[in-house]
Amino acid sequence: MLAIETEHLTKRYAGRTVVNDVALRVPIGCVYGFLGPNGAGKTTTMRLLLGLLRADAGMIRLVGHDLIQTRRDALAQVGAFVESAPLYDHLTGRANLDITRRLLGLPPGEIDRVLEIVDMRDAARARAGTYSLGMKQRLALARTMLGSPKLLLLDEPTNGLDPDGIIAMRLLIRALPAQIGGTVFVSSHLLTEVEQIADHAGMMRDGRLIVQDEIRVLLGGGAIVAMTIDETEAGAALLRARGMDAHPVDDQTIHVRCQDDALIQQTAMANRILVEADFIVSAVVPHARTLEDVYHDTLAQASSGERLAA
Amino acid sequence: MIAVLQVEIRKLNGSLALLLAVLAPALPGLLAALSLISTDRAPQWESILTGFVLPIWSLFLLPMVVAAFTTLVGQIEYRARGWDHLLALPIARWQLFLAKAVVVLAASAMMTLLVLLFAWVGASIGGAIGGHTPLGTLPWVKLARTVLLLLAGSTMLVVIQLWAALRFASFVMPLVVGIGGTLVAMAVAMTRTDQAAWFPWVLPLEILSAPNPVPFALFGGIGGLVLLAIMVTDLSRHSFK
Repeated sequence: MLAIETEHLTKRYAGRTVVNDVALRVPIGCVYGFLGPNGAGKTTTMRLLLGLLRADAGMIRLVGHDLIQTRRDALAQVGAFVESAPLYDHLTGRANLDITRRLLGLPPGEIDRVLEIVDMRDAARARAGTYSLGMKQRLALARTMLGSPKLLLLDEPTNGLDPDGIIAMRLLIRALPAQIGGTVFVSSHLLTEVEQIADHAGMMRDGRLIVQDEIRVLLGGGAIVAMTIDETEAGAALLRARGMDAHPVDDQTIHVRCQDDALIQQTAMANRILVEADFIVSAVVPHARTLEDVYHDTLAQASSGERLAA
Repeated sequence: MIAVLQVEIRKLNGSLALLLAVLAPALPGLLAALSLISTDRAPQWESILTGFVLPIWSLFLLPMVVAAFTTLVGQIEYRARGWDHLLALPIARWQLFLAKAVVVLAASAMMTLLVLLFAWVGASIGGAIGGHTPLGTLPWVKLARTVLLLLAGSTMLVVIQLWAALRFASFVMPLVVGIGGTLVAMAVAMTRTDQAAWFPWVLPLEILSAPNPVPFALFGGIGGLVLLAIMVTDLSRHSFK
């Protein structure tokens, strides 16, 4: 069983397909980073997952429950906030939580339990309108945890937070799977942020899920060496002509992809080829592969695939 | 359903909507007090309440206050992005909208009762200051019948206002509906035309002035319940943003 499973999930607005044939596979017990630039279709997908929008096609299953057939059973497994922390500013933090607690039919002690997790027991007596953005986000996170749902859907939980708030939220999210005994699905446009908290990731682009896997797997596939040289286009072309995987990044740097187990030999080989061809190599720096690289590589592959198809 | 109703009442605590619901009904009482201070002879309680206070309330203040109140109730959810949260909970959607309607209808009933209370207080104080204490006794039976008919008859306009306030994220739409409806009702009252007697905003006025107000009350009440069912169905299918 998966925490989230979708098949052919599609949503159109005014003839434009904003979510296109998305097949999410989110395993139970992980933090899943749902990535993509603004406008990629992340929030629409989240709204579809919560039943806030009707899909034009496709199936959604949350923790084994079909969202269309058994909406209430499916949503009973889920805690969520979408886009921003939805709070009633004229009520206290505790009253905000109490509203959801009553609607879910939970005991009063549940409020203290979730406030403890986000460290807001004292602050919860104040009106939500007086909270900082970070506090609002934490209170909204506490609210999603009422009733111990097996799946948390958090849309841009670090949006608008200051650095301290981001660190606090990051620590909270990272600890959540152990605390709730379930899965956390986090959407974000911040790739580095997700890399620090997630163990699985999926990337959206123009409404399509272009890649998804364990982050460990996504970051594999070869190490990268950044070489600073005087003529990047010509240098990269020379290396490619000699069978190496090289491309210019800017007008001073080329990236050379090496096999993990042959990093040193291939780096030395690339350096030797360039020097013998009279290029000036001023720096050779191993570059740890990041989700940003994965994103750009996947986009490049997708673009070349589209060109080939055309 | 009880929990959903409790939650809707709880949301009104400390809100502008609640402030409006308590303060607006004081206005007819204030007018009654000012009228009693400046009058040169003591009026009957019956003429104060059924000939002065209730007509002002039903023709102008009730529709305007209901428009403002439902708008503020709707904005509680829109400003807090509450729909995203509420509709993602494992609760039947119709319960959420029905609970809002019940609370708003109860609030409009409470406001009408407050109008009578404030009018009694205002007229008593005004009469004491002006030296012309109202005469006679309070017409309890007539008041109870009129208020019941008025509440039934205004159900349709309350539901229409709530529907507009919940359906549209902008506060402009429900206010336009409310102001437009009230202007029509005032035009009807001034021109004494019969063609618009069944217009929802005119029904309260007809209930106060027609020789037989029961058909108007039944039309407003039954029509309101039918509209309520349609509203709940529509909102349950609506995608809120």
